Amino acid sequence: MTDVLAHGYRFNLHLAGTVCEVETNYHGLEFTLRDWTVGGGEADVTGKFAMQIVVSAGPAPRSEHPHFRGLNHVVVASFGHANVFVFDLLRRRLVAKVSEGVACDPMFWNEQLLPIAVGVLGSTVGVIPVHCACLCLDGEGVLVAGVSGAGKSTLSAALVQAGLDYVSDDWTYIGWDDDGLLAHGLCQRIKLLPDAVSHFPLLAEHSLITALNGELAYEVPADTFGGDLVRSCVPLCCVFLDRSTPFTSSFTRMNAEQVCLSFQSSVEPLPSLLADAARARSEIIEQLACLPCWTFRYGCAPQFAAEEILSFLSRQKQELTA
Amino acid sequence: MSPETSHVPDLLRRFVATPNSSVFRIGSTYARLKTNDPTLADAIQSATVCQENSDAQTDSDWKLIRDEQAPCGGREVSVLLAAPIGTVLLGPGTVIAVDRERHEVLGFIAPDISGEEFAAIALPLILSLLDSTPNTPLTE
Repeated sequence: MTDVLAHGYRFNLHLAGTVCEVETNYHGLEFTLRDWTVGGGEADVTGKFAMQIVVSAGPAPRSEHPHFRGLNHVVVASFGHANVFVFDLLRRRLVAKVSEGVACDPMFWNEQLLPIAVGVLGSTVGVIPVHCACLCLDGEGVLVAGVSGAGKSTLSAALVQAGLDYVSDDWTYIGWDDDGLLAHGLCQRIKLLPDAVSHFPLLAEHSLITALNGELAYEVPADTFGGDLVRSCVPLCCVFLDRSTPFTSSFTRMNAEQVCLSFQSSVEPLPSLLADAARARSEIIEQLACLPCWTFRYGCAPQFAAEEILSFLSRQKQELTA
Repeated sequence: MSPETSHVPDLLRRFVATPNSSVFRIGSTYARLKTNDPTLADAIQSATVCQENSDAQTDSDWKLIRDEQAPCGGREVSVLLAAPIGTVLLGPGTVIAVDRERHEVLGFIAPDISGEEFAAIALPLILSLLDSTPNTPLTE
């Protein structure tokens, strides 16, 4: 057997505050991943992981619907037989074989594999995936949390339309910075269900696609709704969405214990072998729970809900500075 | 956070119970197998040498899950080998990782792969991975 990476290519990716050291036998992969090869200095790095990618030459199938499984410290994600990714959480390493078609497909890496990689390995390098959107208002991060179907993505699109910058709409990667927490985004596309077209007529210009979870959805670049794309920001508050009866709009302050429970209940259990990662994740969630957080009960159109959130946050800020 | 306190479904099937435990002998070494499928254990034990004493000192730990939700069809075999984990893939739904440093075999077996097929196709590859040195470079 020959070492396929012995004379390979090496480069680094900067992903959500981590550095991913890539090794591959395929020169074109660096170009495919070019959006992530330039990043901040080493001082900004929370942790490092390695990625070894073997690209099989010649015609090969593109990625298929993914299949995930995990036991102990090993997680395997396969996108058809030609595209298999093996994550080793103990050694912070991802080893994969992919077809040339997948190696040349930036959408696959940017919208699927890299978020999955940080999602799976993140907690071992100090960056945890949190099920919430993140928008940026005058440089300050607003986290928008809630169970699936609460309206995070729809409200994110409305908040971007209202002038906020976009970090993420579904999963936000939270790690430590010198001064506290830092929220990162990886996906630059907002996923909206077909009925969102009634609130955002511009979606009619886009096609519905089958999303990673099998749902039919629009996946459109966040800047379609205006606003800028921002890679990271400091989270300063959090709003938990709670869909309610029509015309409802009310904010209720949450205590730290409620916030902690809400975030903890949405994180994937880890095996006891990964106790250090689980502990690091708990520390970040406990720090998140120290942010001012509110439940927002609403039953109105996303644009109206966005206005309600903006005016509420503006009032909170005025009260703090008064 | 334990599986009992999380509301997140076990999508990776990390916490599937493995009530069947047995020890089998491969050459001069012993392996402890935990599985949710007794027919899988029977097939492996038939292909190797069964050890009656389940308290015997073991050299490797195996955990094999019969995965009823895994995709079926096809018998294409491939092995992805990188230090120290080697991975055997059989069809679209059977995946077995062999951690040569920790002497662990962790796998999911698709519903259309019988115990006998597993023993005939995947078992020799797993044993050969367990026998190889943990620092083998990345090969395919």
